[in-house]
Amino acid sequence: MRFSTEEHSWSRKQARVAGRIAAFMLALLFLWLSPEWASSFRQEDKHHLIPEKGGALFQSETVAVYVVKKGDRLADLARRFYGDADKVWMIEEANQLQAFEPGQVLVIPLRPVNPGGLFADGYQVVSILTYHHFSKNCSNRLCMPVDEFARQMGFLKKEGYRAVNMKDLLKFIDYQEPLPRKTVAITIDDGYRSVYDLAYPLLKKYDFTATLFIYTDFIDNSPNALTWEQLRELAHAGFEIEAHTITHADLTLKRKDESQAKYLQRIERELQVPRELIRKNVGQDPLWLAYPYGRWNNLVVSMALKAGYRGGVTVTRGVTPFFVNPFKVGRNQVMNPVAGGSFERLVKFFRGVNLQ
Amino acid sequence: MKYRLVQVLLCLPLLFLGLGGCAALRKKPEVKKPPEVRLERVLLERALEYERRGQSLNALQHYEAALAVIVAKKKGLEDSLRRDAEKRYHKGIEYYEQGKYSDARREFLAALRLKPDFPEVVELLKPVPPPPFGQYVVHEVREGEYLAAIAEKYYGDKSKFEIIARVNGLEDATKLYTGMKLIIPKIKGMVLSDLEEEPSSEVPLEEETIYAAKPEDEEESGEEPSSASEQEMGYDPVAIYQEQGVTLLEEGQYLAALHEFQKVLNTDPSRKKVQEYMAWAHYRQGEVFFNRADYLKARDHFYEALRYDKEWAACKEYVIRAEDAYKEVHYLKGIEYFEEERLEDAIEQWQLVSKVDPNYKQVQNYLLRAQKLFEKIRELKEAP
Repeated sequence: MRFSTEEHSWSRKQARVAGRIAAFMLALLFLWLSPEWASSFRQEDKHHLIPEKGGALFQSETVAVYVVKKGDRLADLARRFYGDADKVWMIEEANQLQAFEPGQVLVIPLRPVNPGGLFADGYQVVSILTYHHFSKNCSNRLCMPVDEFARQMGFLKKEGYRAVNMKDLLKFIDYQEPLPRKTVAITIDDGYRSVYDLAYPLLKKYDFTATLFIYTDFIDNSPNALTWEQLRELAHAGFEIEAHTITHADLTLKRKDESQAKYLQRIERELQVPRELIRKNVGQDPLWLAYPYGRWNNLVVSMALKAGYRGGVTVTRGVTPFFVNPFKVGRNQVMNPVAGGSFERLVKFFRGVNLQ
Repeated sequence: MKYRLVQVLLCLPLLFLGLGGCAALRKKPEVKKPPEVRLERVLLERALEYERRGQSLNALQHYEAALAVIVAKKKGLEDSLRRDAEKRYHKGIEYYEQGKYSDARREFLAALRLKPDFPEVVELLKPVPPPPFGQYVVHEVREGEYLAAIAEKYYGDKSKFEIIARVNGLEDATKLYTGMKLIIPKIKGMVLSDLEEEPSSEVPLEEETIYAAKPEDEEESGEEPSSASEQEMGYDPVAIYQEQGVTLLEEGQYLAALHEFQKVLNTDPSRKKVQEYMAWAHYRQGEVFFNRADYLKARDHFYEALRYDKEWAACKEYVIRAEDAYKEVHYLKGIEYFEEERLEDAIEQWQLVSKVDPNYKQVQNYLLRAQKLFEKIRELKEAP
């Protein structure tokens, strides 16, 4: 009995020791974990930069700090922070990058800082270029010689321009997303086959995409027209397909002996059908309308709005700031023959105004 | 002489001294700024130094201090940006109310630059569509006239100048020039008949609704002077299609050319020259189909060509030749098939002929005979 109590007390003592050891271990574990805990608590505190494991990154709600490691690539960083490798320019512009090397400290904006592109000495503008038909030999103004087009695209590339589609431009106009400081939009009207045969390979070479404004009666309906199949391929390659009515009719023009009601009905169709056809055949939702011959009036604009368009482009020369009227967006048609330096004058990215 | 030279030489350094002195005077006397103490930098450096030496608590204290300075500085900058932005915003509103729209816009942009998250300003920068209107009067601005007075004259209310400014797309309502034509839209409560009694330069009421507005009218009623002249565009957006059509015509791509000419006629169906091109393209395309023995398509194009020139003899002749050729070809094909005992094919060929001309040669007789024969054979086949 005694023995057994002794044994009992011994085991109790043993248990006490074991308990102490366990408590000590727990405390150790807690101590070891605590920086992690603390940092996870601080994560709630939005105004502090938080060290991430590895020490290469600090992040707050609006900005991240990144120290470039060996083997890093800008495109990977853009993908990591923005989910989009094409957003490299956001990092480049925020840091005014000239070089990119290990040890460099980068500030990475996590929110658009200056969506309107406003600076003390002016504001950002986008030049929307317009083309129609391409050919090796051109004998009229509508037609752009391929060699000249190649030269123009080469110039844009060399000057560091990026080409955006019209839907990207819409976000800029809505004051939602900034665009690269040097931005152009390339638009091609009507839907000529030469876009696929001649312009597309060149655009691909320079890693540019374009927005096509097509009138749907033309598609699949002429040896000189694009096919829906080709449009699908272009769309797949990042091109944007937008609307240019069904028949390329002058929307502001009521026909002789056409009643007002019939006219309105016709215009409504000219606006709605292309949206449906493009949606059905290409799988993109058109939001832009190119007025045939650039002709619009208040009635056409109000009907375009009703048909679901978010903007309309004309053929009036001009550049686009974010505060443009989205239904009167001017474009710069590049005319053949291109006089020396005239293309270079069309692409502007800044309008000087004192905003100090 | 030599003395003179010495004098001049002596004077030169004096002159330089004088000039230098003047330049120095003209230059703003440089105020010696006290060297700026970068508190946060000093504190941060101390904190780092303490940390390096292992004096953690001191390091912590200095980090805290540096942080306090940084937070205060950041807040100070934020506050001053916000204050400046507000100032520009209010200045903009002031301009806006005066009708100085372009000045207002500049202020709004400046405000937004200082404070990008400023929804009121973003809203104000959005273009305001002109109010829809039906009837209007055209007013020619006289010397010394200003917009508020014009608004009072027509609307009995100076503050309604904004309507006129909007409809006419004025960038600055305080800058009118003599002889400028303004559209004064009819609004509720405005009695236009009163105005007609006044002897003035006003054009009498124009019965024009925006629904009937032609693109030319848009030049007057548009929001901005965006009514594109050819010079502004650098080209005539209709003429380029005509040029492209002519190119295609010359290259013998008649069908493609037709698409281009149609685009021109879409804007103005009465263009004589383009009608001629259209006719010619149809005619040549008709010939192409004729030579390919595609007679019906050929005939249709000749018909189209005739729409533009009803007296085109060669074209008329082609219509007849195409139709005749069509009928004869299928008539003979039918006979050929019949002789080969391909009854169904023969019937099909003769039906084509019959559709165009039921009375062509023996086509009705042949058709009847072939169909009867066909029926009989089928009956025989179906009989057990």
